[in-house]
Amino acid sequence: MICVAVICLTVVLFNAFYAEKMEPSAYEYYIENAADEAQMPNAVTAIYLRYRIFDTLFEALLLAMAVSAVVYFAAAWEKEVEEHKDE
Amino acid sequence: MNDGIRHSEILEDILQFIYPIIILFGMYIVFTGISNPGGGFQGGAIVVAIFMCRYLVYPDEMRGLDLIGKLDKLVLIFVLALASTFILVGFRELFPFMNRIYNMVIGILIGIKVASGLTVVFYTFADIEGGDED
Repeated sequence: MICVAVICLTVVLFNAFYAEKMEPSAYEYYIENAADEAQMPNAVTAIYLRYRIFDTLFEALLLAMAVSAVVYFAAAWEKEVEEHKDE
Repeated sequence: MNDGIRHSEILEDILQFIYPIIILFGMYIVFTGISNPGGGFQGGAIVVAIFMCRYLVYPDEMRGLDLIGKLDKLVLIFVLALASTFILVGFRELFPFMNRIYNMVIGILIGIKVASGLTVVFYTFADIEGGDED
């Protein structure tokens, strides 16, 4: 708990002191070039379908893994319940 | 036990009225995700509400759940293949006119993927919880 609080405080302090010193390069690039480069009028869609395509792909993969895990554990759980019923 | 609640005619009639609205809203979110707030993930999650409503009216086990699970995996393969060929291999430089088609198609595919995946998850959990009463 203390560890989490210290980490949160560190992040907040870091942002407060160093945010101005960091170069604001990424969002300006996206705002200027998203519409032409990706041919999408929506910059958010351009980011999650183009610039952050790995994020989207692995998110889809994660969802598929979650579905597989739910189906697998449900089948195992039902099997276990049936075995206990026989006893 | 819960027969009176589960086969309520009021619920059935109201949900029949709501079905097309949910479908239209979900499709709208998926198809206009390119230019408006929204997209495949959100629209797919809205479309799942149809299956949840269907469970409220007909709580029996849904037929073809295996087929929906297979559709989920098939669409995932399509999404991976399309995105990797178009973005990562670099077809977007070779065929710039395909950009708009790619945007539309991958949004719809992600919508189908999320809808089918969440449907399988919902019905599996509902099946487990419903099995307790027997």
